[in-house]
Amino acid sequence: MNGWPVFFQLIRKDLTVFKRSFWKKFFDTSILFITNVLAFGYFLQQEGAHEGYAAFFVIGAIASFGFIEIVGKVGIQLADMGGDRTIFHTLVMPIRSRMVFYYMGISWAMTSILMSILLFPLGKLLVFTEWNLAGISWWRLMVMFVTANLFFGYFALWLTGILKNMTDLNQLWLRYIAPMWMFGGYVYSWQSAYALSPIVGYISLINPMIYVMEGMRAAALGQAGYLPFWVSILMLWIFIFACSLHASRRLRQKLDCI
Amino acid sequence: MKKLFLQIKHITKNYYDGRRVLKKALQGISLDLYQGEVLGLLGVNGAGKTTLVSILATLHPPTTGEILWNGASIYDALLPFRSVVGYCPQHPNIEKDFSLGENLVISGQCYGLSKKEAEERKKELAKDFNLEPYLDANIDQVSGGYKQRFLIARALMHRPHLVILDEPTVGLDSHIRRELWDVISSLRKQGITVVLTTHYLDEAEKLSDRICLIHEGLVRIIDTPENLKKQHQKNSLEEVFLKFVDDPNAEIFSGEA
Repeated sequence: MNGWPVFFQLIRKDLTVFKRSFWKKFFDTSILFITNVLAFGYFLQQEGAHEGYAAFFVIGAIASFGFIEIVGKVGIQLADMGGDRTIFHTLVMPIRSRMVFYYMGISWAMTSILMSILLFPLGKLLVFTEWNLAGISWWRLMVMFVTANLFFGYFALWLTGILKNMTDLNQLWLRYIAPMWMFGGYVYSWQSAYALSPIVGYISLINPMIYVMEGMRAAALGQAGYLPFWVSILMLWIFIFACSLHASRRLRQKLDCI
Repeated sequence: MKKLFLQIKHITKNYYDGRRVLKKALQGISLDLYQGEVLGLLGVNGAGKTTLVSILATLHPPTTGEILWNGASIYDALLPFRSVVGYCPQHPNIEKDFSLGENLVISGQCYGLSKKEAEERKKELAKDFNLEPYLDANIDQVSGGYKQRFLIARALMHRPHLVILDEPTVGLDSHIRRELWDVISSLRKQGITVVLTTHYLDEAEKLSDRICLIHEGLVRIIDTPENLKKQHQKNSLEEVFLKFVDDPNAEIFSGEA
């Protein structure tokens, strides 16, 4: 007997919940996406941003917007742990607790993928002529897209493990996520940071978000001007392993489970 | 002769604040559980009843000690053991994104039932527990009594051999309590082993084959309700209970029973 049948049932359960609220969530995400693309992609060009900046920005937004959906899950999970504790029903099922935590990371990554995949056609529509699809390496983009969302899933799981309660989550956005996002290459490339100051460039390399942005842009816009694609992939997998292992340990301690 | 189902050996459970021991919830509990019996766990608030049953349900690990099932540790056969246990917790931990009926089916499928089997089992249990009118309802739309019925039904979805009921009737009206008593009695008739924690002495006396009184993390007494009253020359279980709770020097049961 192993826990895989339970693992897949739990993923199926989460996808069912996600399916029921998908269009509402996608509508909300689209509003944020469209306003960001229009403001940064078009108006910023009037302020002197380079030609092609709209496409550059759209890729970064597509890469990172699934994370918004996932951080919401952290809040739901923390509320559950401090309230209804439905997770305790899962933790007495015939599945190991560490597999329950790994399922959560994967399930969250899958919802993030499903949420942000539709942003590709929407992004193309918004910056129609500026984004040349002929330059995309589709298989690299797919590898990077899945890797980036797996990172988001396990990073969110790690946050669930280290945060005590919902109050901490409010601080998390302001103290950690916002700087991580803004200094993670959301509106500029790593090369720009390095050009500003090599020290800033090197410090940026400890931020996993930089690898998400650089990797996605290298796959979608071409390698020139970005960190090597495979370095971004490798670094993200290191972060995925570190987050998943530490999250599993912390959650087992936090929930005092077997 | 009664067949042994579980052996609980010298279970302790400490709660920590960092490295400091905050509370010694269980201080070395040993008892045997026989197949098909209803064991009533009694004790005041904080006695360690919920801690013990959550360890039995494999939700939390003990600090020290062992639980043997078929002669081997349950921790060496964790998943097979979990598949024969049904746990009804004190707090209704029900998925609010699904109706009660969907919750039952999902739970059944997670325990290895096919969709068809889970649907059939859901109908069967809904009938037994009078849940049929509420299968499409959300948990917030039903009363406390129906929440408890649902929790017991969910614990029974996969036809477990051991059912753990943690204060299933707390806070319920007396007529609903009595309806749930019938449910618990029917489990015994089906040969299911039941561990029942309760504050109600009448409930424990009526439903339990044996009663185990836990106080300050230790088993103080364990026997049939009739034997307890006879041995301690008391007219009611309540008097026996008060004697052991009030008297810190009363003999502590420490062996297997």
